[in-house]
Amino acid sequence: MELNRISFSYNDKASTLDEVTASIEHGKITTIIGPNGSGKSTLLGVLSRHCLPQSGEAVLDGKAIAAYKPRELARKLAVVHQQNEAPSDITVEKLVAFGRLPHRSMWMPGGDDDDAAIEWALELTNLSSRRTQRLSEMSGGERQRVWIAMALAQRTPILFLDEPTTFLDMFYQYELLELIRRLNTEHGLTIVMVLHDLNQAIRYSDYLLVMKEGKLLLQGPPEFVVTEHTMKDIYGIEVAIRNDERTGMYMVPIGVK
Amino acid sequence: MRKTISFAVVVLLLLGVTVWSMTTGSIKVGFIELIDGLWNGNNEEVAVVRDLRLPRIIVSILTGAALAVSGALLQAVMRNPLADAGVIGISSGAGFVSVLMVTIFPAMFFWMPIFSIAGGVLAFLLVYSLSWKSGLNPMRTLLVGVAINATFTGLGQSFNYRGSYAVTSVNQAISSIFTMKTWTDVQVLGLYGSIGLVLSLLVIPWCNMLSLQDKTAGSLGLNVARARIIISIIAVLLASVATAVGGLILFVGLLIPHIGKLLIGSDHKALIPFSALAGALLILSADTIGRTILAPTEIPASIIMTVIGGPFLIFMLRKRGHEYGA
Repeated sequence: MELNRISFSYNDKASTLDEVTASIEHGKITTIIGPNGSGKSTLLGVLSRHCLPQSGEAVLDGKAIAAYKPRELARKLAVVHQQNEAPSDITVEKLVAFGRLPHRSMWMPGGDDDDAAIEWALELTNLSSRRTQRLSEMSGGERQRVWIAMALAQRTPILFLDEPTTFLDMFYQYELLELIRRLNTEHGLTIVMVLHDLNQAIRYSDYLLVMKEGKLLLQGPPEFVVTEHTMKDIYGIEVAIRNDERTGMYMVPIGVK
Repeated sequence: MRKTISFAVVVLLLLGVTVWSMTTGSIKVGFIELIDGLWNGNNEEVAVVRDLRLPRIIVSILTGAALAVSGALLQAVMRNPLADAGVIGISSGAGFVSVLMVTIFPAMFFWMPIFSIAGGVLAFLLVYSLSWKSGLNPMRTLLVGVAINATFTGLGQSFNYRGSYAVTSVNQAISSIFTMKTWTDVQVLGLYGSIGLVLSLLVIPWCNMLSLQDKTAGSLGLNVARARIIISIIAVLLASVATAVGGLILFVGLLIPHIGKLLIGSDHKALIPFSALAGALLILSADTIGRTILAPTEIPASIIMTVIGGPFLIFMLRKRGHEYGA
């Protein structure tokens, strides 16, 4: 996926995204990081065509995403949004089945393909035994898995996740990140996500895009992007970067000066 | 299981009330006598029932079904459990515009449903655009709707005091009395109402997708804006035609889908057919009770509905207020 000089603003005054140009490699995990209000989620929104850029374009498989039909795009990329709502009485299975809508006629019952995709999605997210449970009876972490299962049922080569770990307990955060890594390594999905936690971004990404004030400040592999110097530039904090055999590279904030 | 039982009960009750409604009133006929008379056409009393009571029954059924389904659709589109064509002013907009046009152009009486729909669309656009502030807040929508409703109701009522010859038709359109319904009314409502009801079945998958957030529905390949517009038009069509023929009836679209959700769940595949049946049952019952309980005096179904619906709205606001941002 190619991003060509994408600019976007919610109102006409301040631009939220300013001429963002980058390339997202297939088969990799790319993570967008940056301070609050830097345009991370907006960038993901533009890439998933939720927001239309004022200028510039995102190109997927040689075709501008603006030129895709809605269903066509939904067969190419699936999105897990940060906050989700569903009727409280809906069951896991019913919700995941929504993911098949880009592939079949809405007014016909689903076929074998659809059942197989739903099955696959439920299995990967460890929800097979809970398919008839209502969403309202599940915890936050389990619910997040259901939304991921719905996106997986779309069987797209690309998966977007907007801050998937925010609001979750530590256990669920890492359970989710492990799942995302497996989707990438074992099932070949291209992952693009927004993360808030830098150490999670370092640990689980192949490539980082660093946003600040609407500009793409820096991009590259985590070891290249996260240094004591850049962290001061981006977040205004003093950090220590350490390498450990067991943990890999990690970062510890020391203070604001 | 609960779903099946709920459907069965509503269907049986609807059949029962229909028979009861046909056989009671100022002229009483037995059921067998009625069937025989309708079949052979040799019974004068049955002929009166056929010409006067039967159209009224069919109009009640279709009005109730149309209003309830319209409510279910509006709630899906606005993501607001409190949306109801009557409460947010669509019905009064429809009533006012049709009365206005018929007063100015009396010759165009048979176009009334079209004027009604235009009025309904106007009211809906006003509510939607005035309450839109980067999203629709349920409470703001309701308040704007109440204001729009008051405005159109007031405008409509002002016609009552002019004393022109149009008054009789005006009365029909803004206060709902099902007396004097003819087979022409049945034809009008039957035509537009059935179109609306069939269309409402076709948009069921969209309604279900809109119960997720807009961005989620969009990621699943739904053209959200287009789906919204089409569902809204169907809802407004149903409410406006029901108002044009059946008059202004509040709260049906609020009460019925809410009860439906409690009994059969939020899946529109069941909710929309259930709303049609239960709405028909409610209005037919209200009308039949209204014309028999104090006979020969009649209480209009709309008044009965207002008396039931008002407390019900308060109940919903109290019970679920926290859930819907009240």
